Amino acid sequence: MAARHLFAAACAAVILIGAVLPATAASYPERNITFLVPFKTGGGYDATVRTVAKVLGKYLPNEVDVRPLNLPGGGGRKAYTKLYNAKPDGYTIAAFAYPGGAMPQIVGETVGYDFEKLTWLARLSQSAYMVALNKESKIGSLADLRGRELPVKIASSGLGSTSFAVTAIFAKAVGFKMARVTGYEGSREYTLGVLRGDAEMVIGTVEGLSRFVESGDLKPLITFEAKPTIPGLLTVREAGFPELEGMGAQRLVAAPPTLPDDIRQILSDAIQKAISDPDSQAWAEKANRPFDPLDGTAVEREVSKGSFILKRYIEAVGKD
Amino acid sequence: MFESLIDAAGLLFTLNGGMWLALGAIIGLLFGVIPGLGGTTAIALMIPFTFGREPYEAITLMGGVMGAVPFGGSVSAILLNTPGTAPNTATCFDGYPLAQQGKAGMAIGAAATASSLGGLIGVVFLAAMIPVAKQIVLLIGPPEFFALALLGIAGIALSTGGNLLRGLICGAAGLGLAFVGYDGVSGGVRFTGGIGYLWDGVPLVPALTGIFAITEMINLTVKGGTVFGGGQATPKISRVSDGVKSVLRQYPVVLQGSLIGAVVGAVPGIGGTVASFLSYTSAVLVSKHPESFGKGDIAGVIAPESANNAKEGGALIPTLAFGIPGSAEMAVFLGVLVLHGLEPGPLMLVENEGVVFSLILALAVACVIASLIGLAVARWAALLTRVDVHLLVPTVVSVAFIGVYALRSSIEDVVMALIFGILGYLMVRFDYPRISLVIGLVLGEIAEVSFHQSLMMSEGSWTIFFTRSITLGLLVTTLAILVVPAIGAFASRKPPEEDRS
Repeated sequence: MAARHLFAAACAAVILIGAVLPATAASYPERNITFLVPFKTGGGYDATVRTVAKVLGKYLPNEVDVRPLNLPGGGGRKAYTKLYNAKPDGYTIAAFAYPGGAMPQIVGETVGYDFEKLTWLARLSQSAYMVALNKESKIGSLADLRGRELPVKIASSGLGSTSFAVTAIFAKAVGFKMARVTGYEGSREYTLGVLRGDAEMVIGTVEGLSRFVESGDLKPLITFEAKPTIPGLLTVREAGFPELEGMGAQRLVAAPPTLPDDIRQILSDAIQKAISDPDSQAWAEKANRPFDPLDGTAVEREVSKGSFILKRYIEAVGKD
Repeated sequence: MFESLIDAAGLLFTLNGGMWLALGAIIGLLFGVIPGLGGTTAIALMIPFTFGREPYEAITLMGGVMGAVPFGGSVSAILLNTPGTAPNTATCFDGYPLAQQGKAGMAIGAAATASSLGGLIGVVFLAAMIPVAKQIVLLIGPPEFFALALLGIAGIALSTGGNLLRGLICGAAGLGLAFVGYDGVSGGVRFTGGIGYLWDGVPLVPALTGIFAITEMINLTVKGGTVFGGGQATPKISRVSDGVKSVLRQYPVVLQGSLIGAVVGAVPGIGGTVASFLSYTSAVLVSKHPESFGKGDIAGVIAPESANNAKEGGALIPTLAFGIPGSAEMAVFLGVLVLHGLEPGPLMLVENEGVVFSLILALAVACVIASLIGLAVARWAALLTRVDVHLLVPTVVSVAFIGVYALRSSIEDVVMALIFGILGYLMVRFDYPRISLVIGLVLGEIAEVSFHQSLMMSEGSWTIFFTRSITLGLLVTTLAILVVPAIGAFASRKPPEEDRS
């Protein structure tokens, strides 16, 4: 029932807006929208996108289907390249993992897209990073880290991945010697590597690691959050690295470069409404994956600020 | 624990539960039979249908799919030399020769029985291991991965028939192909010739579909006639029940295969394809007649198929212990749980016990259902080997190409399948063993990455391969495989075996 009223209201809105706006947005959207997902089906990010996509259609001026299309490959490069080269007509949008998707470019790799030219539509959620250790590790503080003679082994994915860069940045900031154990496919695999003792330290999202802290399989060290999820855990600000605060995985939504402003506005608004939809909220509550929405303009600011810090650090670390 | 088990059984053995399970099993069979499509695709496609359903219904459906896919895939492997899914590849080696000899019914019967038994043994293994699940998962790390991969690669020596040099050439080519794309360790891109498509390496499913399905269809077209080469003279199709009996007679092979499947399944990052190859190679190793493999030995069907089904039980071990999936299907399945608002993680067994037991039961019952359907239709399915090439080839080629395309909606994948089809035909034509190439391709990447990881773990010291008991045991076994036959051959001075491809 609610949907029908909404639809009627939306129709009315379209007619009203149609009278004053230029042709591009007047009729948008006329057909189904493809929502690219740069990961395999399954997994938290995919689930978040699907939850939003399911209700997004009804918040657009014309009700259309928003269809998720999983396009994994090259650590997201495949989906981002496709997005970058798609027509900026609002019918192709994509989930963008930041800073993961920006990292290859930041470390100077040639990729088929320029993340700084993309049109940002929204942030769905984010999760800050934290540092954890194998439960047998003797390290209990940052001082222990600095005092270590032998390098600390850190597990991460390969060069160009976010985990690779963030581990380097953390070691540089704190000032300890690190050695890498890398080549893991993703966060699940390198976390398991640390559980197994392949390496001693892991840096990952609070969302991913706190479960292992809770079960007693990992020992927490420090968090990049402003306010720790794990009660009493040391924060980077308290430790004297305020510039690292908030560093984490951001789940963004982007459209191709030069998307007309009116279409951008429609999509940005609709995504915010889809996030507030009772179904989406109920899911977030149940799955314990809270949304943390931002609109397109705010995301643009976040991305440029974040990239600035990353670039500065990467220069200091020497691309490792 | 038992309460949850009984609750789960109560939900499964109702009309509603049974319906979802049967639906899952039928979908699984179909997706298994069609080359290119497999369990992950089936589950991914089912996701939207489970929206708004109770979690246990979704879980039962997915369990049905996962339990039935492996057997479905073995049917195409046996009848058409076309693995329905990548892990069925090893089943082609002996399943297809059996079909050519008019024993397709027997081979399907054996595959069905081995699948059910494997699936059940896998579930029993899982149940037995739950108390020590964490320790099991933590026991096997990169050095063990490397030793396992090396053991599989040593299988190249066994699969070369008489011509070791040609086997090594193909094996090396396979390894070379496995190294294409991103180097997981250094992050560099290698051997892609600047083609973006190859970033993630040579995709396994299109390559395997090409080198088996397309190759076989080219081969049949050139040859003419039917798959079963015996003409009308052979009186009857061998009986399905012979297949069932053969499995019961060869129970050590079933046990060995199931255990290998369950253990490999328990290790995240090593897929079912590796499990079935290792099981196949091990069956050859312990056989009294290793020379009969590749020519239609029924143990060559039983070994990979039992491992293939047992791996899902094993794959649940890391899922329960840490919320980390042990197989690709399990990874998608965890995604389904998240969509239904359940959080997989190290506390899953504590928090979502009911979910876990629903899945375990659905898996176990589904592989039995799939096998029963299989046994019922095996006789008729076997008639496919008597269909004339003019009808068979266009159908199989279309279905294979559509399957490969559907996997990732990528036309490049279809081109890749075609290239591998032509390559495979040339290899058959000039008598170069495809098995060696495939083993290299399947195991190359994991061997390389885990070797690097091991050395990073030990800070460059090679002793890591000799100080861990499992690694050492596997390496000694590998050495024995390579050296013992050579010593034996030298001692008895037998003439070399005949060629086989």
